[in-house]
Amino acid sequence: MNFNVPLPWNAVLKSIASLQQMPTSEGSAALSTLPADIRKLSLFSARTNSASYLEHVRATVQDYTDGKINMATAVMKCQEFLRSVGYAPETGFPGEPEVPPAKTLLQNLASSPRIKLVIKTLATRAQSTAYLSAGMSENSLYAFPCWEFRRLGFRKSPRGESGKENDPDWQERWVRSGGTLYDGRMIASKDDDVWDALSDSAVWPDGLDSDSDPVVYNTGYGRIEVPRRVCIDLGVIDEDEDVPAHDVTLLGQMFGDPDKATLGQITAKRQALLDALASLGEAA
Amino acid sequence: MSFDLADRVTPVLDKMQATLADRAAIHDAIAESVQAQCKEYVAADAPNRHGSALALGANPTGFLEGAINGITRQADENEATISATHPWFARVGHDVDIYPLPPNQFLAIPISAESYGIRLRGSDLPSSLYMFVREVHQKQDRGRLPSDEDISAEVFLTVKEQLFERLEALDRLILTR
Repeated sequence: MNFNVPLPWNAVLKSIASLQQMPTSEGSAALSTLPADIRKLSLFSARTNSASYLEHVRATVQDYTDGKINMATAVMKCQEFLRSVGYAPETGFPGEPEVPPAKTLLQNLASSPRIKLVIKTLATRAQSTAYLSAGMSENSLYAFPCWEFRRLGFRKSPRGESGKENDPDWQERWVRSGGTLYDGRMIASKDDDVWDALSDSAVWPDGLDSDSDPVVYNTGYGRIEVPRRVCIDLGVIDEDEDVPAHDVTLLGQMFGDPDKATLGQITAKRQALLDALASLGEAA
Repeated sequence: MSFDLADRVTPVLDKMQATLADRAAIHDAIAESVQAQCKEYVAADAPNRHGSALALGANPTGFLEGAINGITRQADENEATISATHPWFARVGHDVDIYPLPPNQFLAIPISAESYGIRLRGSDLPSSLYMFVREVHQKQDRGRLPSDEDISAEVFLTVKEQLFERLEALDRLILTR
């Protein structure tokens, strides 16, 4: 085993690189009406109709997810670029169709809150897409059959603390989306409908209709894989679930065609495994 | 960054080479288990790690979430690799010294909620919201990831489970004969 070699984030970078630029002068509300599959594959940002800026954002997200720059530097780089091309919040990009003047900080492409929101959302989506897709392999689905939706990032004002009816906390939203709580934990199989329901904009106005994290802007919540033994202990899955199919995989790895394995070969393999377990016990 | 782990499992896996037709699958399981362990550990530790932001009354920048999301894995038949390249983990292995990039002579450290997470250069903020230093020295902080012992224990547990799964599959096969 090697725990020393830092890897390039191939899957993450691939995810970022695969995003198609989609310059647009539309606002967030209009963008939310686009089909989810188009939004998923597109690199866009409300009221951003400059392809060169989108390309700059893509490169900045890549540097940020690669750990080369922090958020403060990402913001500064985007602001420097916007200044260099003459972006003005009142009129937009020179040479591009005018957009209505920015009335809020979030409509101003050059504001820190706006840039942070865009960089963070795109970076999280790229990392999450890579992580979640790696968790869908045959072995992974058996060893880690579930995800837990949990807090990953601290917030000064967590969701649900406003006391407003339209601001349910995550546990309430989870249950209303069809999820089950296990000892208070939001855990579900990786193929459970709750993962789509959590970000369904038809039910939740802030939903991003995303099959990866984040499910809403600015959330500190995300998914982490849960080991099979924990899923069984909590009653999320049965002990026998998926065992026959997993047997086929394991026996195939050991014998090629298990039907052709003789009793002698099976017994020998069994003894070798017992010896390996004994060696493992000695090494532990 | 990189971190070392006393590796006591590889010799055992080497001895099992003839037994395990698909060593890559075991490496994959090890990598995934340790990745989950590290993510879980950092997420559980996160509430204790926002002292600077809270002391200033600022919102955390999300730096730590990026670190959690950035723990990746890879495995093949030769090795299992956990990658934690986010700058948050730099202090796991050693002290970290931070210097300004030339031609700058000072680092600007935010000292207010307003300036927290915002670089002075290019911002409209007054320099009075920053403290200026020539360098920052940060001590090694091994506690940013699970200990070697805990990671080793997770690796052993995973390999043990993998071996038992195969044994049980063989036992069920024998019952059909």
